[in-house]
Amino acid sequence: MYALNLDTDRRILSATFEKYSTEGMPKVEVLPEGDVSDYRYVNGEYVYEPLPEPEPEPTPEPSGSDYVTYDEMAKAIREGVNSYGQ
Amino acid sequence: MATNTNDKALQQLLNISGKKVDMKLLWENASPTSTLSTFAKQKITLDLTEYSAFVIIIRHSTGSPGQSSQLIMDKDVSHYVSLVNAAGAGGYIQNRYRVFTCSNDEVIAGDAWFGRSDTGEKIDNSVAIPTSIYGIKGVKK
Repeated sequence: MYALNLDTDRRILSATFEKYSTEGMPKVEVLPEGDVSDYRYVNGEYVYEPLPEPEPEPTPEPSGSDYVTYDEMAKAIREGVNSYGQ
Repeated sequence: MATNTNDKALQQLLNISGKKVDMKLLWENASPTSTLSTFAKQKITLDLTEYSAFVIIIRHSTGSPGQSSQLIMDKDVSHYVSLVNAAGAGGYIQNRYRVFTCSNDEVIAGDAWFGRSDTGEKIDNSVAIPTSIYGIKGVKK
């Protein structure tokens, strides 16, 4: 036997074994297949209702301004070398 | 030092001091370890009045059976477990973390966060999942 920890909308947050249950936790014989948090527990039945997948965050494309030209890089190195010890 | 030796040494010290420390399993995640479920922020109601310290075993992610860490914590103070990996070929560092707080009557687990040094961090409750909680009695401050 299992005990369910439910959110206010009866979504399953987690499941534990009956021996660890506390008052008010629904007891069930079997857990749903897969991820328990894809289900809500309503009127003694599992309702499959997965949360929407979060939108993938777009990876920012490097813009041209992120790069320096070869000449700019060479100039920066020259300045760094020339300023050494000053 | 082998774990058995550590245990013996600890027990000998406890015997010398006359103190007794008990550790009891208080909660287990019943989601099968092969298909561990995601774990959104939640409160786990438990009677913790007898316990002064806690050990929480934390699986790194739903997809990493066998990879666990542990958080040792005292009462009424938020602790966070931080699971850091350096990804060799990818060249970035990744971190999974979640905050826990134990009081007299509940364990509060916050949302888990997954961060990468190259892309930032976001809430990801498929990581840092508690699989068991132990209570420890007899700890004196």
